[in-house]
Amino acid sequence: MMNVMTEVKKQRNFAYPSARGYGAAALLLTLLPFLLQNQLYYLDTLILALLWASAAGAWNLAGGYGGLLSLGHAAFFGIGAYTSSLLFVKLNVSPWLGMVAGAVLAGLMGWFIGMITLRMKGPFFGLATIAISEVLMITAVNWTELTQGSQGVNIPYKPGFVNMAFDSKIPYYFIALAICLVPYLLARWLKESKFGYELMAVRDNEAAAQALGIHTVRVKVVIIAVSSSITAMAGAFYAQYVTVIEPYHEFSFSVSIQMVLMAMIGGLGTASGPIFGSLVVTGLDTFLRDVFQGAQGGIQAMMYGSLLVLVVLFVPEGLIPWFTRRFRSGKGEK
Amino acid sequence: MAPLLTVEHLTKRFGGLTAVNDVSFTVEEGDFLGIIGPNGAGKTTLFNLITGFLPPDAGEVRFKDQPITGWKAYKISRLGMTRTFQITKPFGHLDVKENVVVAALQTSSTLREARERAEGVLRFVGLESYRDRSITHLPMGLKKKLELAKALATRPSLLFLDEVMGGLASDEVQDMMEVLRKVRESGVTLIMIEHVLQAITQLSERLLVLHHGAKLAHGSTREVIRDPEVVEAYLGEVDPDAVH
Amino acid sequence: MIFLQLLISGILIGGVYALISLGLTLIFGVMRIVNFVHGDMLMVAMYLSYWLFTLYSVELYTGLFLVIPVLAALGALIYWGVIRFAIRRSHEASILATIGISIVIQNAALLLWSSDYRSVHNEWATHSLQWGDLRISAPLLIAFIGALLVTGLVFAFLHYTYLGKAIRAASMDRFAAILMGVNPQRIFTVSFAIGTALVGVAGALLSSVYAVHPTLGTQFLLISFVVVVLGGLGSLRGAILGGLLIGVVETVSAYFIGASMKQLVYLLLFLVILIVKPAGLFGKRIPEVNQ
Repeated sequence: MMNVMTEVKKQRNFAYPSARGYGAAALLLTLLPFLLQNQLYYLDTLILALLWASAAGAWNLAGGYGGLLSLGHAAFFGIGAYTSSLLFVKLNVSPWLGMVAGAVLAGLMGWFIGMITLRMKGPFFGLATIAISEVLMITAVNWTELTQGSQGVNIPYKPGFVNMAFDSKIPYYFIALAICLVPYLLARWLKESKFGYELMAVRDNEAAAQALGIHTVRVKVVIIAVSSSITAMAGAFYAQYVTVIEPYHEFSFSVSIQMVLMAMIGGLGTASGPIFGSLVVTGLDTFLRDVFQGAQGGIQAMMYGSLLVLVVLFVPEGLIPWFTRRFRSGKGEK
Repeated sequence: MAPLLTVEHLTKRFGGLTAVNDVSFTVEEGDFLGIIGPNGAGKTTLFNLITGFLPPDAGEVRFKDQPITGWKAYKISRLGMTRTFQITKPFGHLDVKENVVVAALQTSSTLREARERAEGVLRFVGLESYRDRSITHLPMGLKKKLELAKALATRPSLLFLDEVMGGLASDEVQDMMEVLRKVRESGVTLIMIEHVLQAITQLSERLLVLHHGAKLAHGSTREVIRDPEVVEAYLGEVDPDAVH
Repeated sequence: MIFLQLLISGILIGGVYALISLGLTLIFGVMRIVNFVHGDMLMVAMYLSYWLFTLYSVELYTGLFLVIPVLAALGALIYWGVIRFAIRRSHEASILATIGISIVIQNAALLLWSSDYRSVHNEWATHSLQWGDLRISAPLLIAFIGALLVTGLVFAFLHYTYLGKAIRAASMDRFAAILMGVNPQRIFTVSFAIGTALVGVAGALLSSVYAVHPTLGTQFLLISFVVVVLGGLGSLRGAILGGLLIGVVETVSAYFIGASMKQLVYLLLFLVILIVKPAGLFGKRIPEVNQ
């Protein structure tokens, strides 16, 4: 019994809240949309924050836990957005099924990319992922019969659960929350599973992992596929929520970097890092939008860029591990 | 019964350089084989060839009656042959115990079991009081021990040690030798590269001497260190009577 | 005839790609950094030339004497201000730091100069030379010749001066260079400055060929990644051959499958090279990254 108690105490920090902490968090997360019901602007911000937290969390599974620095995750985000939208617009398939289809397609794509890039080291993998997302962008722009090219796809507004379209923002909130929980829970599971330990070992030293009997190639391919699938789910939801998608945005480098940035700010290889990072970035974004009405586009992006540099230079481990270290003695979460 | 490990005519070339040249030897279960030779003699390359980190250009490796030539390192490891690295390769973002847990997981069915076994291995090598330490500031002596602990946690039947005593202080060498004797007693067959000759001649009962990638001598430690050719080339500083 | 025309145009633009890529591969070779700011430095140099010409009527080729020192100083500043700290952390950290700087610079340009396309209309801009059916754009020809000259100067510098030799030594084996008593900080700063100055020259030469806008750097960055990987990351000769090859590939594919799809061809080529021969077509070895 004593052991259990000390265990619980030990785990009491930002990254691993106690059981009571979970209860409070769950209650807050459930009540929050109703509290913000009349402040649609903030509810909208919150939904977008959750959405980006899902994408950043998905990136973090491969990038943070697996050390695979993908700079082209927009590829999977775009696949998710386009698959569900096109299935809905052209064949009237429910976006719920479209989301699954997008996740499967992106997973297969991720698996394939993993297979062809697995021998690459260092910057080569990152460059290859950029090239892949560019290839998809050019395809989406030029394959006009399918994608309507650079015009993008408009999703007709037909409210109803099957169509994943609602009058109120609250259902969107809960969908975003649910998607956001997928990478979060998976990340928690990684810390408690054989696969997770293998993944972190591959990240930290591939040769040493092989010497211990770890099939490093399989581990990497699996995590890229999983990460891609979840990113596609976020993309599919994004399309439904925003109702218009464009190749120059969905497949863009800045979308890829946004995921990396959020995961890095919160903490690479931490479960709650990407969520926290997304809240910070989206919050700052909203704040800047209020302050600089006109030229916000450039200012916001400059903030992203500066933030990225500052985090890399001053808090490379991210804010969650940094807080954890500051507020309790002993070692931080890794 | 066939030997545990059979190496036949193993050869590896890097451009014009033949790093390992037609090396053959066998290792019986329970053996402790030492491999010595000057820098650049091809010792580590030989390890890489046998354990699957480099494909050989010619020759064959058999382990537990199976031809494993050209197998991937992880498959060879799963068959019970693992190794340590001369330049230690810890998992830098995991703590000491987690490093060993990763290894133990390869031969455990649950995480709980792996954690218990990791705890046991840490005690075995004397790292139990460092279990929660991060790798970053671990001193060299402990890193070498951790390297050994990781390898042991996979429950190998044959273990390759690449200079586990390199860079250690003399009391640390004594400590490591004690641990290796215990490993030996637990039934693990050992093959060890070492520059600390005092240690290797005391521990191993057989020696293989490499010179320019080729086998110069191979036999019982007593014989090899009295071999005039070997003595002249490498062992000048060792008093043969100090060997057990 | 059309093939000759395409070949010549391709080689001309390829020469400029080679010059851009030379800077990128130099920085990679010495510091093992994939520099995402490189394309934006091209953009900055083009704006600088544009404003010098528009506001002060400074001819492009005279403007070079200002563009080169300014860009070199900018490169050194970026190295001293950010990269030298990030480089100590990891490859990932330095990549992300350069991406961050790139985003800042692009958006600063957007805020300062808007997203309008601006091009220099000097007396050369619309000229072209003609032999029978062959047409050669004058500014492109000048850019090619300029690129050739500067490339020659860089090779002479790297082979015949002490500092140049030190840079080459550092790029072959950093450890050996340090043992030889070469101060790595100085080498890194100089390499970053030279690499950036090279792309600055390319920018000045290109400002009468292309219209400049804040995100112009991205497409050139992508091209120079392709070139540099094709030629072997860190290989100077490879960058030149790769630049010419990509210039031709791009020109030919633009003619046959259209300008909007031409990128597809070299991106796919890029992926195939990465998969099949990551050391590059002309590279001897894979640079020791990730150790």
